[in-house]
Amino acid sequence: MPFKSVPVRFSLLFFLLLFWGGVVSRSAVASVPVPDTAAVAPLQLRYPDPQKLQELRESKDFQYGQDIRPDMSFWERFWRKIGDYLSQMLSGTSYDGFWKYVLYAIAIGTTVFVILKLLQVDFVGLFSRKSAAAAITYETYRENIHEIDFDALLAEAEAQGDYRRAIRLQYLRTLKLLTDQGLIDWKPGKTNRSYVSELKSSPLLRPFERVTQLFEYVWYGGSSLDEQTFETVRQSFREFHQSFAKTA
Amino acid sequence: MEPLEEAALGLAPQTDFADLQAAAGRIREELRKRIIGQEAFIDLLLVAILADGHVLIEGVPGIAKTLTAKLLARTIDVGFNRIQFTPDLMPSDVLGTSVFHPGTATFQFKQGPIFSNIVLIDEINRAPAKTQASLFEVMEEQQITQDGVQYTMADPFIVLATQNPIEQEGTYRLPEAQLDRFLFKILVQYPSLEEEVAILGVHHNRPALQRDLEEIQPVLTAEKVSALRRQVQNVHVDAKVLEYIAQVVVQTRANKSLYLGASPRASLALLNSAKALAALRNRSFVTPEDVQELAPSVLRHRIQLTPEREMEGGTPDDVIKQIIQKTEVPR
Repeated sequence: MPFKSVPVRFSLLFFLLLFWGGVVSRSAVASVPVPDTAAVAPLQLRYPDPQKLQELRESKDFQYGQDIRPDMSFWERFWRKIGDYLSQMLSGTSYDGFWKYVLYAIAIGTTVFVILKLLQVDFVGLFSRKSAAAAITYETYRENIHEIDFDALLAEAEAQGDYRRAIRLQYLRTLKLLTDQGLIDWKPGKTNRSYVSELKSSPLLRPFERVTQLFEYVWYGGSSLDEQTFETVRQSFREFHQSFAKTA
Repeated sequence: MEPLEEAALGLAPQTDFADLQAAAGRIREELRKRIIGQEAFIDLLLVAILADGHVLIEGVPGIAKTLTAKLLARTIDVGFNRIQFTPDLMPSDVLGTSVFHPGTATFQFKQGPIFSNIVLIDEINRAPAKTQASLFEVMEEQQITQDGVQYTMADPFIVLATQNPIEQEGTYRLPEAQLDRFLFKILVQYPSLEEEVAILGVHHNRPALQRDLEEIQPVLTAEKVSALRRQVQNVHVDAKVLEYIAQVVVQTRANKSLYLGASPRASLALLNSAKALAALRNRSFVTPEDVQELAPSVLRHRIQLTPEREMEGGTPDDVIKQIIQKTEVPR
């Protein structure tokens, strides 16, 4: 019966290997050379350098029994003092002193604010780096059309032969008239075409379109203007004003 | 507001853009054979060609971004290559590579698909930053330096790149340095209901139209494009308008809603494109209107919102609009 003979075979193989392994190991052990005790160097005891040891003993980094504060810079000492002062003030039983200092702080802050405001200092710039880049002057174009004395300035520009400026003033006056009548909503960021589209249902659309284009050719296009051309352009503005008078 | 002729206004005419007008009209006609609507998109593409700039076209899939770019390329009789950007695309697949030639025992540079006049990069944001970076030199300087040798691109050299919005699956955000090299980022919108009905009607009657591009005829040559560009350079820009452009761009650097403002390259892009738009409108000078109209396309990809503004749901276009409203128009 083969299934019974299998364990017997394994047992025989196991003992055979065990016996053979023991023989091999014994022969291997027997072949290892015995060390010569006389050739081994004697043990040497080494000690740390006493000077170095003393240095380490005295170093404050290794004084575990003492609480030594780390070295602080000037600013760290300054802010620590402020912190100690505030915590002392706030942890006190009475807040009378605290409120007194708060009032002092508000008074000083208000004074500084008023002074800076009078000097027209950019406040945002004090606290932000970005604001420095934002300091752009817009004064060049910052004109309120409601505060311009058009008649005087127009007379001056024409007398000086500065026809481009005269056309500009004519156009600004046109915008003022339309704004005053509530026909357009004046905003500095709006373009001329925005105003044209606001007049879409008005009879003033065509005359306004024409003066707008004239203004743009002269003011943005750098068209040269002699007295005769200026007169032609001025005539267009007159026609607009006539149409405006009829509408009003 | 249709511009009147200078002569009709009683002013001396300055520059004649009849050639440019005619060329632009013919290109529009050719594109209209296949594209319905998208007028503003087509106008911006024309401006970019005249202003010698690259264009990034963004929109959801299926709104004819790639088709429009392909058709536009066909209207100009110059070399055209298309590169499909994929996540495993390597820089050498775009620029080219040096190949050993056993016969002569030397390395020879084999030009990549970027060597053409009009290069359509489809789905540019499917490739990672490594591949995107390979486009930096060629897009800005129109040259490639490979193994110490400089290869100059033929004129005109225009990159038209399309991309899906970055929220889409499997896309990468383009590096800021690369975005800055695009003259425009055009957002292509869905067609209106009427336009969509018209699209369906056309395709219902001619099903093969989708694949057939043969009917699109070239309108311009490379020499003609160069000549038109020279005309655009002569467009007058008043000092007041120059300052207005600078004010708009500088304000992006100080805006609290923005983490990154626009570079001086953006100012130049705004200037050049405004000149091209003015010429396209048959005007010999730039108005603040031109600047306002182009500012969103020039600036939207060059600025970055602060995380707070982004979380509030703001968009770069909102901030640009706010800046434009705040900046006084020179009069």
